Amino acid sequence: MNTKIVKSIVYVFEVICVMLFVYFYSCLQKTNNIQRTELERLREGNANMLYKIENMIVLSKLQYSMEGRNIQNVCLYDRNNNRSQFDELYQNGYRLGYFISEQSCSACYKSFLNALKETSNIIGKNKIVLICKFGNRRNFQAFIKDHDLNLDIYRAEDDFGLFEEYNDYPIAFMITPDLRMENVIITDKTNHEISNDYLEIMQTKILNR
Amino acid sequence: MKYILYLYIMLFLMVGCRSDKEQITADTKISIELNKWKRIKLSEFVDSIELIPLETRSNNLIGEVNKIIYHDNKYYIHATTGYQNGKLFVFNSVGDFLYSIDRRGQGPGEYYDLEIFCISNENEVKLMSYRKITTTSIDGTFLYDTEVPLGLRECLLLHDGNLIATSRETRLDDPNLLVSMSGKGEVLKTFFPIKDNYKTVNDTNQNLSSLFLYKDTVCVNNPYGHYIYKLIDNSLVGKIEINYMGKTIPEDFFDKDDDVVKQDKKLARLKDYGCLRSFGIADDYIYLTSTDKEFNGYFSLYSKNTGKVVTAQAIEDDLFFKGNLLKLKYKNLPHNMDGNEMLWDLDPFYLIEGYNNYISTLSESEFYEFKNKYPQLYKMCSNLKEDDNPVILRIKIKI
Repeated sequence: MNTKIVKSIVYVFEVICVMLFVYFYSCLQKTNNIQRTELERLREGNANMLYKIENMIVLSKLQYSMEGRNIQNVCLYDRNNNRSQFDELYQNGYRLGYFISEQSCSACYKSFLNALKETSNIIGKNKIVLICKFGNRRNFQAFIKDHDLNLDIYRAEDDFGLFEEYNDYPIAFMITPDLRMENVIITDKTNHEISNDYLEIMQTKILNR
Repeated sequence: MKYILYLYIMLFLMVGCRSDKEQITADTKISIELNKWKRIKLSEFVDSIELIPLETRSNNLIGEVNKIIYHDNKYYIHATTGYQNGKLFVFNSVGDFLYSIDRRGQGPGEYYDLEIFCISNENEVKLMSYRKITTTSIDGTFLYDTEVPLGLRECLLLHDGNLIATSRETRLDDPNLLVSMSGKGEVLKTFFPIKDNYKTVNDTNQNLSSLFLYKDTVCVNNPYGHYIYKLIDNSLVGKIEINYMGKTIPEDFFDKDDDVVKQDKKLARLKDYGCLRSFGIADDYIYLTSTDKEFNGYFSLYSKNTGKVVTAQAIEDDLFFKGNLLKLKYKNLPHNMDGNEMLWDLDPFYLIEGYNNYISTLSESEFYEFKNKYPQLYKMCSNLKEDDNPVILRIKIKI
């Protein structure tokens, strides 16, 4: 009899143990999940910030290395496919240039293009020139139509070949008559605010020239 | 205590149950020789070609063709200008423009950029953008939005009405490459984990087409991978191995933390390498397209009946514009199918050049004969302009 009671107690104890184990385990899992989610959120935030900082370092280095460099006198085609050379665009003095490649990400140039359109109303359309690298003409025409661009725009089949890589970043710049790049900025999805400030500064510079 | 022991054993068993895709051996091996001088004649693999010149208007200029779905006698074409600014254009079966769907914006029923699309059994268009699916009726009227917890790259409609997509965010929380979704776009499950060293490679590279549905089998390939995995009901059932004959990128070539620049630098150090860009499976054949280090394109056809594979870097026209050669590059490789037929979008430039070259060699009587033999081809090519929209070649393959 005693043995039976003891066996029953042990059995009940085992069941309680299992239940407690499952209960504590699930509680622990819940807490763990909450902590993991929070940790992931923080990690993601941190990764985004790190990405921004790393990106800005790369962009700053690239901008710095482009400053004052001579640019290749690339061949350009206007909307009607008339051919001209890059240096012809700058015969009438300083202009603000903006280069976009078909491989550039739209998030990096869209807002700058819109800001550029507004700036053109203040400084004049003839002070801005867009150079877009597109392999085929239809793609270029579709791009113009898509962004409703009525600025001075040209198609280039090659980029400026400034670097071994990174040549597809959208770049805004001023060009001196001897084809040196000045006031270079790479517009990127991580630096919208800076690129808008840049346009304000360039606006003043061009108006004061 | 024995119950606790059983519990532990069961827990261990549950944790230990994991399928390993490497355990399945390849059921098909396809060897592709990347030989720059290799040509294939059109007559060697073409049974018939139907030409569908897509009408050109100022409001329907197509930059790059990404995906073509032939549905209800209409061509639904996802096109971009450059690599982005996606829109959906709809043409009838002979290429007349019908309408376009472009819902870029920031409000409900709008998206930042259209990345891919598919059409459901209920005739709804699923427009996929970053972490969002916008569903419209077939004519583009907005129906509803569905949020998706991860970025998608390619998507297919399954026969049961569910959707399957590839993830482009395997390096973040979820390493699974495939995403199973309900017809409405709610995520049901993610599965098929990608190898650690391919997570960033997968997220930062995109192929022309790497997800394909053949009957009930979902076929998928990951960027720079040399297997096409075959899955039925979310389980791996087989794989096709692509052997670039000494130019295959080794499985452990990339490291976990290789970003795009590091990947490019590593690849640049290789003498040459093959990379699968698109594939499609028909009843009798598998087509595959590849590129080498210099982005030369290669077109391969594998016969399911004989196991024979032919690969070429250029296609020689010996049927229509005889003697002309189409050199393949990444940008003019085919990547769409409709049933057993290939849908190859070709820039008008190639047809105009081929036509002009050919007719310049013909005498007056030969030209007259050509005009009578191929009236549609003559009419189309003599009216085509270089800036016109692409022409779709609907090719019935014989192999």
